[in-house]
Amino acid sequence: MSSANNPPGSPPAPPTNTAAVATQTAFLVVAVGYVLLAPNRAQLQTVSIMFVSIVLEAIPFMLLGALVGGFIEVFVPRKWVARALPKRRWLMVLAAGLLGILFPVCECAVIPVVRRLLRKGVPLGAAVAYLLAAPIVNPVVTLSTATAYSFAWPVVLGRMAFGYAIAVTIGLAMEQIFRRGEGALVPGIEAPEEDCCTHGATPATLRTKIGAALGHAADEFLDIGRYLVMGAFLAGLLQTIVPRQGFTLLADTPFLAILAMMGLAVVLNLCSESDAFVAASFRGAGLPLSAQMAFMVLGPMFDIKLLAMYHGVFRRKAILVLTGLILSLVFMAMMLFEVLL
Amino acid sequence: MTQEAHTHTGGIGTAALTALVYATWACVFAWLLDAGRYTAFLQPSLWPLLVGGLLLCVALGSAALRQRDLTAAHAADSTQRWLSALILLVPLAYLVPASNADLGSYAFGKRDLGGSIVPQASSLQTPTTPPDFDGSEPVSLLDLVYSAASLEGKTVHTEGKVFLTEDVREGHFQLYRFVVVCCAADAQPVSVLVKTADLDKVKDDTWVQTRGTLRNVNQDGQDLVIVDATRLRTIDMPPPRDQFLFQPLW
Repeated sequence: MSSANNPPGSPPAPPTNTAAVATQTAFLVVAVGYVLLAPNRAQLQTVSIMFVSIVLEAIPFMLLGALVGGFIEVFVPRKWVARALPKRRWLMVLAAGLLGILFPVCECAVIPVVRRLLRKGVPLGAAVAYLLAAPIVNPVVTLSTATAYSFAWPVVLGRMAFGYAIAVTIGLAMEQIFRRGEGALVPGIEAPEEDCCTHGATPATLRTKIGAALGHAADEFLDIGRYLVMGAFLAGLLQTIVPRQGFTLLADTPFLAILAMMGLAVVLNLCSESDAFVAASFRGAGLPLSAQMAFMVLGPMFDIKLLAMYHGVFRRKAILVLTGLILSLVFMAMMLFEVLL
Repeated sequence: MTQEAHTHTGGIGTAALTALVYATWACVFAWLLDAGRYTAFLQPSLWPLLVGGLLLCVALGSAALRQRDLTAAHAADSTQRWLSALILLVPLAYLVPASNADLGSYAFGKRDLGGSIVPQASSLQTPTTPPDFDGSEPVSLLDLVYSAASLEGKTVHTEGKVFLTEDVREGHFQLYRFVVVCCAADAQPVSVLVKTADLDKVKDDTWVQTRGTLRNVNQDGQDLVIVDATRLRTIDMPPPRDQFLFQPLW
């Protein structure tokens, strides 16, 4: 593909990935086949309601994230980003973990925003810290958690503190492991040499730039939205077939309760604004606070839907490393929390 | 056809495909907002989300069409574009079975945490049941279980769906509804036990109204709310948009 055909500022269209095409084709066959041929009608209806509700709640946020990403691409020059960021990378990561307070995003909207920030030269570690922390450390989630736990502020602050600490730790680790981003990102995410819409003798008008931003957003959502749908389908299926009663049997074994609630967080794919209410409901079943906290900290960082969407940002090795870090750090932090309680 | 013309045609086709996806989703959002159909999936107060989604779909779809010359590069990867477009339309296929159904006994059996659990009061909003409630007005199941302690011995009137289990006490069934905070994915069941002599008149997933005397018992360390029904009648299933009880976020 010649560079003359490549729209300025757009990531170069990657070569067709046979494995990705096969996976997506298989998904289409399974998804359409299930809705047409499912033997258990009650199960199909439940899966349908779960799947559609997850998608309906997530898509507007993803569209918004794509829009923000599009405007970042067109209106935020790389040199601004370079000037705004602290020079020391570790300080950058620490600051990025707090950005959700100023720019709250849910875990669906943050993906397209982070993609664009990475293309603007934001280092991998800072981008990961923002990606993981922003869906937890923000005013909306603070308020919903407080409501779910009757304004028990130690629980609320604990969730924020754990979320922040784990996010920046992982950000720092990713920065070191991938030597400042090398080999971690999918093609097209690496920072290009020039900003969008800066080429040519004639400066782009505001109208042209807005049109370009919307165009980038349109492409972005089309690219990343497929991961959301695939992840949401799997989430809807698992939500439907996994029974919750078994978790009450683990109430007396914190180690197992933490692991079980981490597994439930991965399966349920709830948004961070509502997961505190589900976590709080397990109090009546006697589940320890450490297990409830594990559910609330892990869910916004990692679940089936997010795992699918991470494929739009990271290469496979980076996803494996990221997954391992998230799961192990959340587990260790909650075991420490259980010991300290 | 020259390579340039082929690329240009591919660019137009790709732009049209992208715009079609956005147009379809814009229509879906509009349909869901009409008559409040979206409350079969989402908290009612989240309607701005769908309005925003609709407007963004219109804006991005228009931008995609205007971009037809710039998408020449993407025409070279049309396979992936087609796959992405089709995948984004998959949820619409599930909208059909979802729109005509509600969460029933299958979902209740998977989500119930055992018995007639009174949800932790602090996880639910204080209901609107007045302190001098006399049982003359129907009360939502959510209000009922939340205020159970203050309704001891009073006549209550509520409605919900039937769940029959083998291990429920003889002559009892569970009356349940689902409570939603954000979307149906976080739906949690609330339920009471209903004692009735008319158990043979009901079956799983029947919608019923019941009137009776409420009492609170503790059995094997578990708090149970029981309604000794004096009246039980089946009612029509409400439309899916009215199936949930909603817990505000704050």
